[in-house]
Amino acid sequence: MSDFSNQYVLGFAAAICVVSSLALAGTHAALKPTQDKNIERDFQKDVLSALGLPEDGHVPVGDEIDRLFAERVGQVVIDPTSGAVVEGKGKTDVDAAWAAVKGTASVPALLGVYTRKQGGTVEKYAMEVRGQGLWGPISGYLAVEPDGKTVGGTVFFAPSETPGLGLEITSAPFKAQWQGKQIVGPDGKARPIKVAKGKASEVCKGEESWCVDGISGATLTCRGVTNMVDAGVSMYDAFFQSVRSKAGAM
Amino acid sequence: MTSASKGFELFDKNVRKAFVDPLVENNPVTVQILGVCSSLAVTTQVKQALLMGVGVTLCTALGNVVLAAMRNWIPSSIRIIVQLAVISVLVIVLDEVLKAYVFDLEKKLSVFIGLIITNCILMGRAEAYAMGNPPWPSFVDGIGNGLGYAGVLLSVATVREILGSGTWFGFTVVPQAAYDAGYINNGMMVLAPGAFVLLGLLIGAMRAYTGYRET
Repeated sequence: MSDFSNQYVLGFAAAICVVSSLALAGTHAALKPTQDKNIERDFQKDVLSALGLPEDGHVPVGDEIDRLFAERVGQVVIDPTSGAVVEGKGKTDVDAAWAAVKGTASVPALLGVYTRKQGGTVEKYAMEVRGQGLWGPISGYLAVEPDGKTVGGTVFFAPSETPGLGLEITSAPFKAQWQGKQIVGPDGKARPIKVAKGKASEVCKGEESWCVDGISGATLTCRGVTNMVDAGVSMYDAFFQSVRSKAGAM
Repeated sequence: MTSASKGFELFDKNVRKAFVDPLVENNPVTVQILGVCSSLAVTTQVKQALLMGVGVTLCTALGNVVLAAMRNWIPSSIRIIVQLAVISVLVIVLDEVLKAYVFDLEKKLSVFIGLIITNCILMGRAEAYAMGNPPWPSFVDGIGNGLGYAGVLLSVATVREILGSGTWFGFTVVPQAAYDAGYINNGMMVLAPGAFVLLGLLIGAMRAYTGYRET
């Protein structure tokens, strides 16, 4: 096998390169639409889950996600300073605003709020939060009831956290305990929910509405969740103030 | 090359040996100590280990077939890079297919699918077997080695998931009563050191069974 000429070796290498490139480009082009659809549905599924859709709690797949998202979910883009709705902006603008403040403590210039609609009324609001876990970024959606105070569901993502430890923030029992917690203190001002180091009933006696149980062995990830929710509650406060005043007026 | 010249037989002795050997006797992980990196990384949960095992099996087998088919035309001076190119193409195609059809699992395995490219088992089999044997035995050899690897992954993942998370394949196996009685999951099992210890024990056990000694 060693008597190949240099020309042959070069030609062979070139042929391998061309064939490989064509195979990869072809696969990518053929599968790209399906992959993009998956990414979009993945995001929609997360929003639906935070908003408690579908109501019976099963995990939607395929077309059902598209249908539910189109029928029941609305999106508003808000200005964090005034809490006012900004017209004519969408998810891409919000993502760009997040990207612009990535790695800093600044508040994005635009924030996205997803709403669960039934007919003309809003049944839930979901705010998008992002933060830093132990090993990498964490994010999530925190849903708030129409009263503007009570948490109505969460989803968290922790792609880099340790399975069995930090990754447990994405587990159903951890998420379930956020239900019914408050983002407003007794004084009517925004008050974040923190993840206790231990059991909320022991660590946060008398303040259980602003406290959830921590996960042992995942202290740093839990601190990341606390910081993320803290930042989220203050970022969206202006918006939820207006939600609260509207709810109070009714 | 001998098996080819003897005429084509689907399951002759050599082919059977190519399949059975790597399962236990000459297991790529426990005997040859190849592919250890991913055996440590993706064995916290059985589901991930299974997908990884299937992925490596497919890529090893197909990579072997392609390389065995081209073996007489590959100049030996560039054979390693040709093997790498063929393997890379297969792995990237696999990753693209997974992204399109089992998106959620692919998301969990994330970078590890891409890292199949650097899994020593693939290049090891290509260099040691496919370069000198016809496509069919090479295919069987790839399947055998992939399954040998998958078997180790699944064994380690089973112990890690049960002891570390109290579940198997995502189903709860440690009853709530045990937790109420004070049992807690072993945190070390979900971290790399747990995998090191388990893999070490497994290698020791398999070598005691096969009588293999480092020379």
